[in-house]
Amino acid sequence: MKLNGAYPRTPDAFGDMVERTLASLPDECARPTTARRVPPRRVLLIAALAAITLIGGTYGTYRHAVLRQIALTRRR
Amino acid sequence: MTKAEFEQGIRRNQDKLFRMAYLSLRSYADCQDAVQETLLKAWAARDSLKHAEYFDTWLTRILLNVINDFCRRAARRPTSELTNEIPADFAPPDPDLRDAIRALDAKLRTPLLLRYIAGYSIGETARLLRITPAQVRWRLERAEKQLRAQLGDKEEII
Repeated sequence: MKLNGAYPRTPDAFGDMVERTLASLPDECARPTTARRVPPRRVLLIAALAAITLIGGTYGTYRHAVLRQIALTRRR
Repeated sequence: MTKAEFEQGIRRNQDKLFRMAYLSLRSYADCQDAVQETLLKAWAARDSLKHAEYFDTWLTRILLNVINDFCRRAARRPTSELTNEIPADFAPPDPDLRDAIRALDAKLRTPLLLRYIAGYSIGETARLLRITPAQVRWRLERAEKQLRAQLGDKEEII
C-alpha cells in the first residue's frame, strides 16, 4: 500500500506560517517553572503512615479513656 | 537543545507535520492551528527531551496529542472547510482518498498515517502509539480493508 495521491505538496503559505511561529518563539521557555513539584511516592507513603498512626493513636487514647470512664461508673 | 537545533528539527519535519495534520483534521485552517500549537508545546517542553536523536518521534507524539484534542473539540462543534482559506498554490490530494482517510476511526487512521505518510516502521509506530506491533499490523489491515471498501472502484489510488 502506497497511498498514492495522499501526499499533498506542502504549500508555501504553510512554510511561511511555520517560519513566523519559529521566529516568534522566545529564547527562554515562556512557561514559568512555578508548577508545584509532585512529592515522590516515598514521601507520600511516609506522610500517610504518620497520619494513620497519629489519628489511630489519638482515637486509641480517646477510646481507652472513654472505656475507663464507663468501667469506673459501673463500679460505683 | 538550542533554538537553532530546534528550528532545524522543525524544518526537517515540516512536510510530515503538514501531511499528518491535513489528513487527520477537517480543514486546512485546523491543520495550521494544530501544527502551530504543536510547535509551541514542543518548544515549551523541549527540556523534557532527553536524547536529541528522538526529536522526530517526540515531535510526532506531541502532534498526535494535539490532533486528538482537535478531533475531540471538532466532535463537539462540527465545522466545514471554507474554500477561501486554502492557499492558491495548494494542490489537495485525491479528494476521495483524503475523505476516506479522514473518515476512518482515529484508532485506525493514526497507525495508517504513521506507517504510510510519515514512513515509520511497524516497531516505531507501535512504540509511538504504545501498543504492540501485532496490534499495529491488525489496525493497518483493518484500515486498508475499510479504505478499499469505501473507495470501491477507485481502489487503485491506494
